[in-house]
Amino acid sequence: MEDMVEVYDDKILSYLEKDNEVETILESKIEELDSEKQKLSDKNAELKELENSYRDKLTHDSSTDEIREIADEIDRIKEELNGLQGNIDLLQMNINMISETRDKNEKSKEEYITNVSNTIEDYEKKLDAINKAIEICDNAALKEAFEEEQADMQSKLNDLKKQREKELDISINNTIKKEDSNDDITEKAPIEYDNAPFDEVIVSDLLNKIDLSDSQQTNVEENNEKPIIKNDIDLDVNEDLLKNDDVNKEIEIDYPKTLPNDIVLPNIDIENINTPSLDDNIPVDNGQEIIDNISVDASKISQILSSSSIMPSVYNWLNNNIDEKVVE
Amino acid sequence: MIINHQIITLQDNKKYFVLEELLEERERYCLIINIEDDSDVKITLRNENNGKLFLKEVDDKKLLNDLSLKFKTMLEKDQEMYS
Repeated sequence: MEDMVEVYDDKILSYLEKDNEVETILESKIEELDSEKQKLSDKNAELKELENSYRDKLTHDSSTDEIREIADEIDRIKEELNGLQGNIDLLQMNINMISETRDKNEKSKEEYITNVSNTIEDYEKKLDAINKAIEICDNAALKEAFEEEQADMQSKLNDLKKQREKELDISINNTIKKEDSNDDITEKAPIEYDNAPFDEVIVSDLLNKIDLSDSQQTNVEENNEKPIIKNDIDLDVNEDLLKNDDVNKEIEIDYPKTLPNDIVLPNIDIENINTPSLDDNIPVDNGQEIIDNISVDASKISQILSSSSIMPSVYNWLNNNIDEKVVE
Repeated sequence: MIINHQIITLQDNKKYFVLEELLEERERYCLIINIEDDSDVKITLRNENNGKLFLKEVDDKKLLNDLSLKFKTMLEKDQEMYS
């Protein structure tokens, strides 16, 4: 039971960290997007001004050089606008991918909460059984042992309940944040971690200790006796997101970018592989060779074709080959 | 090389008269009859390899059926022409 509580501690911390990580990236991307949109808006305004100026110059018979200068400037601004639009599309794509990852994480978290609830139910059943045993127990020593077990079980159950409440609180906070972000992303409230449910570690302290760099796991392990994040915890991460180098620079998720040195490619002796060449005599059944041919006079041809002995046998042979069903 | 209405000698030294020649699906077929044994009738595929001419007996039933039908029609027309 104690091990199970520890696993839940680790799991909830990993969720907190992942939530935090994803939210940070998402926020920065949204900020970038806003900045690019602002630039786009400014450039559009600039373009409009130039176009007005261009029309003005045209109507006031300005010099060709002046008009050409403005036309060139308009072209330059239009190119910049295209570039900005490209940036916006890319950022929007990144945001969609990050949001997808966040949603998957949220889903995985919901499954986790269900598991915690099931475990709580299991604890409650066991506690109920212990209570009944205490009621009917006559032996004082045994009763005392039951009561100790009851107290221990009750304490663990309380821990689990607090964890579930905490996780639900975070989920609700995130939902509110998501709704807020739809209206005004800059006004998002930070996640509150005040009501730490753990006896051994305080979540807010831990979050301060967590360094989102390569040495993250080492640092956390050094500061706590047990590892905060288990290597085998399977968090849902969008695979496309993992492949996105820009995003990975920020998330710093390790994945193999090159082949390990210890992979040995098979040594194949190509020279000794026999492949058929065109010179090889592959036997082809062409049938019988015509070794001689003699022309026949028209009169003899006519004689053969009208022969009452030859032609009936030819027709018979042909008719034997003709399948009436196929002909029909 | 045109072998239609000619007497040909095959590798086994048997002599055949080529009754008809037909081009079908880019392949050339011949209807031949043994000049010494009129029960020996064949439909053959004509092959050319290294300037040499070969005849290979057709044994595919479906193809034999189709070709027999066509040769029969051709033969009837030829008979009309030579009669």
